[in-house]
Amino acid sequence: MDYQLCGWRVASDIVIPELLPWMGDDRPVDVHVRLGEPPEALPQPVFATPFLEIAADSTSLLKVMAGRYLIRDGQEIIFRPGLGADPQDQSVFLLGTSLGLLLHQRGMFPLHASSVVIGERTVAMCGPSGIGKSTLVAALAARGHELLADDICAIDFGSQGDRLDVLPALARVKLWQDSLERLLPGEAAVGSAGSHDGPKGHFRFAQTGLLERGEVTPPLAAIIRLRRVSPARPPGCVRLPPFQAASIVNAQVYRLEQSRAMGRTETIFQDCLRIASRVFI
Amino acid sequence: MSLKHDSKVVKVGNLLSAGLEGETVLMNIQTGNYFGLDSLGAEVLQHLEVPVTIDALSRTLEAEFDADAATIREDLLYLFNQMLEYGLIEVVA
Repeated sequence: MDYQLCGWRVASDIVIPELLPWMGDDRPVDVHVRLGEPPEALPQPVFATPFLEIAADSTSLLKVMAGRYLIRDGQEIIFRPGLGADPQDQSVFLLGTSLGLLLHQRGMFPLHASSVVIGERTVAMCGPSGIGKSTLVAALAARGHELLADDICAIDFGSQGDRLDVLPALARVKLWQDSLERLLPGEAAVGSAGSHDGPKGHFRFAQTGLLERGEVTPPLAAIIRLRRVSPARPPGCVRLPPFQAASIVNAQVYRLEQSRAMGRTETIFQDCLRIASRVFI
Repeated sequence: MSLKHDSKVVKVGNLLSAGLEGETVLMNIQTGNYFGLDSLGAEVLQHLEVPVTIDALSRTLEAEFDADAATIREDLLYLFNQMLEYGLIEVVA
């Protein structure tokens, strides 16, 4: 089955319910997701934790309950399901950490943020885990704004001058059950996934059809870092000075530590400055 | 640790720097800390490619700027203490 993700044609041996089917042209496949037998370990990794290893050539091996994922060359994910693993979790790791590492391998910029289209602009929300990124984009999506990405925004520096784009990723949002019930009463989650804070349900939005029609999404205009303030203070939005903006963007790079192991520190630094100079933060 | 007038300082080796909207943005590769310098700060940084004492640098800058060495020295101490804290410069013996 072929899917669309970040504008790529993804051919997958496994079902990925979160993604829209490929409706583009007959071009060659960009990314393969194959069932196979990833190694137990990588030889001489430059980065290693019990769950993740990265080799000098950026090949990455993710070892979690859901299974083992070998991510290589920016174009292939080889997957072996874990014994008795919940199939829901398979795509969570596929579209989470694996996608993030794949984006790094492809030299792209994955921002830990959720994103929607608001009129002629694309807006990304970032901030610490649990601050309400997904809830906010879900609320906006429920009001008819097209959802582009949840949790990982692949930022494309593109070929069109100074323009920045968020490549459309997923038509679903990960939400707490209570947020889901409040925002979308009567709707059932399409699945649930464990999170370190408890269960989160996935909800797939009926989109306004921008993505289905394959239309170009508007450029990224703002990255908003969500912060909790005292209830006594009115909600508001402050534009940050350039170097602080760049620093915020850098801190929000998805899998930043791993990107360093891949030798991307300087590229990421330059990209952060480009983003800070072109986007309201 | 706080710097003194005769402290000899130098820019650390693992810095990335680039211009952004009239500022110079520095990042320490190890810590990931960002630091912004205005054009004046950026000019001062150029003098830190090789180890220099704050006293000596104050005298060099006195010739370039419209201020006396004592004022410059106090400004440098303030700036360098911050830069030291952010891991942008180091003290050499």
